[in-house]
Amino acid sequence: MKKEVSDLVLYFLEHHSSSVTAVEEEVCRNKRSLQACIDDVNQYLIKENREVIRIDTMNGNITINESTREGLYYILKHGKMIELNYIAPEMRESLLLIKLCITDENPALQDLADLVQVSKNTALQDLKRIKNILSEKLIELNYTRKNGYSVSGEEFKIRKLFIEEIKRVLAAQFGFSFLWRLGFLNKEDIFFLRQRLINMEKKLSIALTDEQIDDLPVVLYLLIQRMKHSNASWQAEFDLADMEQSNEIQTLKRMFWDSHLDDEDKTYLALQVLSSNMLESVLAISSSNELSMAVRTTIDMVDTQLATNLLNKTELLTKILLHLRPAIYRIRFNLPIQNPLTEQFIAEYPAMFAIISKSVFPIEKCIDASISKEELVYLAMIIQAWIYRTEEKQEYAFRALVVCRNGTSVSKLLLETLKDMFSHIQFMGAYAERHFKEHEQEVDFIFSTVPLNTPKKTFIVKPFLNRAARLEIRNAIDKHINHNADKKARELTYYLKEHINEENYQFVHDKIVDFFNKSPNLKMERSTNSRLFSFKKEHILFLDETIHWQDALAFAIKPLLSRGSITKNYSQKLYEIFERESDRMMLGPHVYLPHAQPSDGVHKQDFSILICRNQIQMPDTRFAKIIVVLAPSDYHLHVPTLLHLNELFLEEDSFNKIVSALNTEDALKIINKEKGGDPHE
Amino acid sequence: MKTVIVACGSGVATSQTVASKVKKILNENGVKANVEAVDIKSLDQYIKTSHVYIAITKAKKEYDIPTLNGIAFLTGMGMKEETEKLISLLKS
Repeated sequence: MKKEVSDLVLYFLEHHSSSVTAVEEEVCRNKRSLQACIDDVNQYLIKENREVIRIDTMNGNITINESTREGLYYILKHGKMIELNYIAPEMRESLLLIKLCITDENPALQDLADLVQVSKNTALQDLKRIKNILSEKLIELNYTRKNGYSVSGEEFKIRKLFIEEIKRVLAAQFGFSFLWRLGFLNKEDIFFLRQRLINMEKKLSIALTDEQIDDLPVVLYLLIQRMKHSNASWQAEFDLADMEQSNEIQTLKRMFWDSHLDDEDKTYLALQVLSSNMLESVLAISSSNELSMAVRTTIDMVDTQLATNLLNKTELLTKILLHLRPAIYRIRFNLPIQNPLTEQFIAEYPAMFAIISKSVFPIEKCIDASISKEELVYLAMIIQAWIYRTEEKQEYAFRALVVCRNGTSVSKLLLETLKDMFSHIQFMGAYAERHFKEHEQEVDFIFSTVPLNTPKKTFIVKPFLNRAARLEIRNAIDKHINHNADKKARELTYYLKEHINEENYQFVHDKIVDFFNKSPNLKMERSTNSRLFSFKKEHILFLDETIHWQDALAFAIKPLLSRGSITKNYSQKLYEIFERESDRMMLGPHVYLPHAQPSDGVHKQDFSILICRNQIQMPDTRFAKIIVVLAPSDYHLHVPTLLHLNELFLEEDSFNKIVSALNTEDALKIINKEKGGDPHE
Repeated sequence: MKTVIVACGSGVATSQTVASKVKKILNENGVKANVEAVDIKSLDQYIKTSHVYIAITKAKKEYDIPTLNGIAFLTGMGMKEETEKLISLLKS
């Protein structure tokens, strides 16, 4: 798959919806190539019978719906659109090595060249390099004209190298697809191995990491091929007696009941599973046994060398024991282990690495083996993560979870790093890709090291966050929150929480969301709206006579008609309605509000305030002191002004001042006086 | 959140103004509610999903939900009583 396309697919998985402009900014600068990429992806989606990525031609918005997202997820997960015409040299070496280990046919140079689709000459160069690699490990690459190529050496060493190569291929992008397309795998067998592994997890109450549940079946399958195709038998470098009795090994060996392998090979396979990193395990760990004592000594030693105190050491002890269980199998049986973060960690935390290196000798003594650099880094990561742990706070603005395909130590460090970075996010924990769905609904964000099929906002992060990566993720989150009114409001409410009455939380939050949700235009409009009608001389009228209400109304309406604010029809309607419902058309005590609807003939908003010095009897038989004739231009514009007037009328002092005003100026002084605070709500 | 609806029969100004005023009063009292001015023609429909009806029009029929006098909020006459009733209805 072209990098451009995979970048784009990843972007869409992370963002769910977007716009052409945003994509151009972030992924693909060229409009034409963006269109080409989307066409490619859509072609695939159509084949899969899924909905395509839609671009709104009007506004450039890109919509990704549920079905599309799932399709995109599978594109990345299984490398569906991958081009296999070219295989990089390192990948070729690994694939050739694997081939040589699982075949008993002793392939000729041409066979190997065809396999990885290069010329004979290139294949020969590859094989030369392989020969060098192998000789370093005391394994021989043999060639005879008659018999072709083969590897020979101690089976233990070959298997170790073999597994390393498989894991290397699987770790590379589309590694699985390479193995599959070169015909190394049988999908059905792999599927069954995977199912059996999942059953084993239940039986032994362990949870393998996602990475393991994906990779182990492949490793086991290829190992079985190796065992079947080579006559060499495996000689354990160590005494199996004490292990053989272990219930776990016996249980795991039954996983391979139909493989026709001898008992020792089955043990070897079982050890592969047992030595794999696990997320959790309830395998009994006695706290009084030797190992646990040794670990405690190590923890205490580390503690004295650190500037900070390690909190909750018993919990840390359990954590380390959980990790050590499979690790001990690896260490004692010298099984291959890859910790991709080894060098990076040592570079970033040299002091921590040094302290751990100095402090593990009690454990080494206990297991009677020395701990490799990779394993040391794993231990250091667990303890570093522990230091990041701070006292849990009670309140958070957001909830998030972490999805990590790697084992406990990697995901723990990632989790704690993130916790440390975002004090306002409550982290539910680190989960395997297979398990995060159970908690998906409870969170606002997901931090993941792999693309996920989820409607939640996902941030793809590296398993190891260095300074630059931390900055990048912080920016990404800020940006996301800034574009999301609800989340922005929550962040703001959280920030102000000490100053907000707790029971008003939701209310304040809703208000802020309201505010953010209004587009800039609307906000402008609203602020214009909220401006009160500015009353001028011509809006204020006085009436000294005691006349019929119709005449009084006519007197107040006349200026509206002459200003062209209303039509004859509007005034007609107004009389009709007011006669019928005057008792409902109030704006204060003894204040009447005759009005009709905008559609009855209003050209522009207008008011007439008629101050009746002598009370005038209204249709409802009561007396009016003030009549406010309203010409509403729409359904909302007048509301702030009416509320303002209502407030004035309800206050005895201002009401009296208006009623007893000697002239328009006096009345206007009161009416146009801005009250403290926003009269509009 | 509970919903309060305000409806008036003829004009447009009164129900809008009462709704705004009620919102403001509720805010000041720290009571959360959704206050809406609605068209009298679709009142029956709104009544079903609302908790309190503030009437400005003359009641033509009885409704199942508590009904308050909207004019009180404008004239100030009986406003205190109606406000107390409203708040206790929304808090219950």
